[in-house]
Amino acid sequence: MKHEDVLLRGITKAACIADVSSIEALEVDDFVLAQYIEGRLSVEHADLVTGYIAQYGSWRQRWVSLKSCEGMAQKQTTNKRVVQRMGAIASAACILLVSGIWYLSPQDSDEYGSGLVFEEAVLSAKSDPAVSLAYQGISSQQWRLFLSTLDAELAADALLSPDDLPFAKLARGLLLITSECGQTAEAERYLSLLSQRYPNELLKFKPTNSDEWCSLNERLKQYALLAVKITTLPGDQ
Amino acid sequence: MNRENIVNWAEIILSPAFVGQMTHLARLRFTQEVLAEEAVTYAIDALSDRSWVKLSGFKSGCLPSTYALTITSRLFEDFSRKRFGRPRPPSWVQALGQGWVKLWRMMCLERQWPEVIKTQLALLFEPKVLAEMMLTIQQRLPNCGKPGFAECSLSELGLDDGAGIDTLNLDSSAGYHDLDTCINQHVLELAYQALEELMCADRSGTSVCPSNGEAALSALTEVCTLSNEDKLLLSLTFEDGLSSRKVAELTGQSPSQVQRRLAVIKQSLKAALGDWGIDGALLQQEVSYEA
Repeated sequence: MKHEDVLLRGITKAACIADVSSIEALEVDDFVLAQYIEGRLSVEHADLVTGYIAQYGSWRQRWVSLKSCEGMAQKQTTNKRVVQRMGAIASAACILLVSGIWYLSPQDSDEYGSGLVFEEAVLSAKSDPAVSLAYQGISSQQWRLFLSTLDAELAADALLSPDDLPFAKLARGLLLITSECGQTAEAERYLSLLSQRYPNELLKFKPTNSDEWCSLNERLKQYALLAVKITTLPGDQ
Repeated sequence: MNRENIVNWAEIILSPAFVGQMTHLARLRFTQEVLAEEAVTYAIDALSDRSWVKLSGFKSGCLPSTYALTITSRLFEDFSRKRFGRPRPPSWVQALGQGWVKLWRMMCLERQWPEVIKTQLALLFEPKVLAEMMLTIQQRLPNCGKPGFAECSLSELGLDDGAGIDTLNLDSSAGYHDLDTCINQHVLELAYQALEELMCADRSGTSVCPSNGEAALSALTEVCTLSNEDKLLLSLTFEDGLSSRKVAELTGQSPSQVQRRLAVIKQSLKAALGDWGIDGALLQQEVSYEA
């Protein structure tokens, strides 16, 4: 390492320490970091947090990673479209009560007000997740079947009921996509079928581009895991 | 209950956009797809545990999703500790900065293929620099990446007792704060040595020159007058090893603005050392002591 590099690092740390009274008075926690990332702190406060993350590498690394996700989120939602975001967790009755909130505008998300449009709609939908999922009709058994098929534990089709079989076929279709991004036909067919039966729960997962097809396996898997977890009562298998 | 605190976390966490962001964050952290998937599952489980209690610190003032993602980044560190135990990079790796720590983790703990590492880190490091870093780690840690590396004894990891890092408890955020402080102290000590080495070198003229490295660094810091933005720029560049392009992206500047600012700071440093009779060309020499 060159002397120049060593010295530049050294004066950075020394300058941070010289500012110790401001740094020590500052309380940086996850919430402050989130506000800093969104640019919601005052100029003075943000400047102090800048000095803080300059000094502390672990915070700086988290900030770097989270900034990268922010950029990714803006890119993902650049294509404006109407998205049905209220899914199975919020009950259908609550969805009807939340008026006109179907559109998420990413370019406006820098504005505090419009950026909260979707979030406020969610806030107003008070719901019990377990009840909501039960209302929607996909049972935990069906989700378990889906998950076990994803893990390549394949049950014979003949043993599955007509209601359960599409879940296994959807999982197999998703495995095809994972192994070779592009083979979406089978997954598309069974996702479409199941979305007609359970629209509030599954319609929102319908991909609109190849990136979303490639990530569909993971998203549905996470959703299924949570669905199984919160609908399983104590004592259930 | 205050309405502002009522958040349907399940709807937010399981939205396609949020899961996508979590997955992206996990892949940045873990590189291996399988590990990243496990980490996402772990994080969702932890977030939803006990009615989303981990998110109970949320207040109005930012988007719930941003807050949740911030908590997620911390949960990924919990996952890493549980998955890999508590092996820590040698103090010399830590002293070289977060970029080196990241590379050490990918090579020695996660056992990434070299080609994958080069691809993943291509945006952060110049290829030649990255190749040299990888060679250095391989030479100094011959067991890096071999089975059982994570369970190696401290001596095999090359940890010395100088920084006291071994006794830190990394199970808490306070532990990581102490680790940062330890690393920072090590960086300062390297700078003291560098200045003492430079001051002992043959100088063309004489002028007022502090007699020890610590005093010299303090004087130098006053002269160079860094803003908090400058400190962040220098940390990202020289401690984390990020390219100007990446630093620019993070700080909302253009790469040329970043490079210009760095050039100004370097010039200030050179001028300050020149006032002490230290030849600016010496700055480009490699340090001779063991880092």
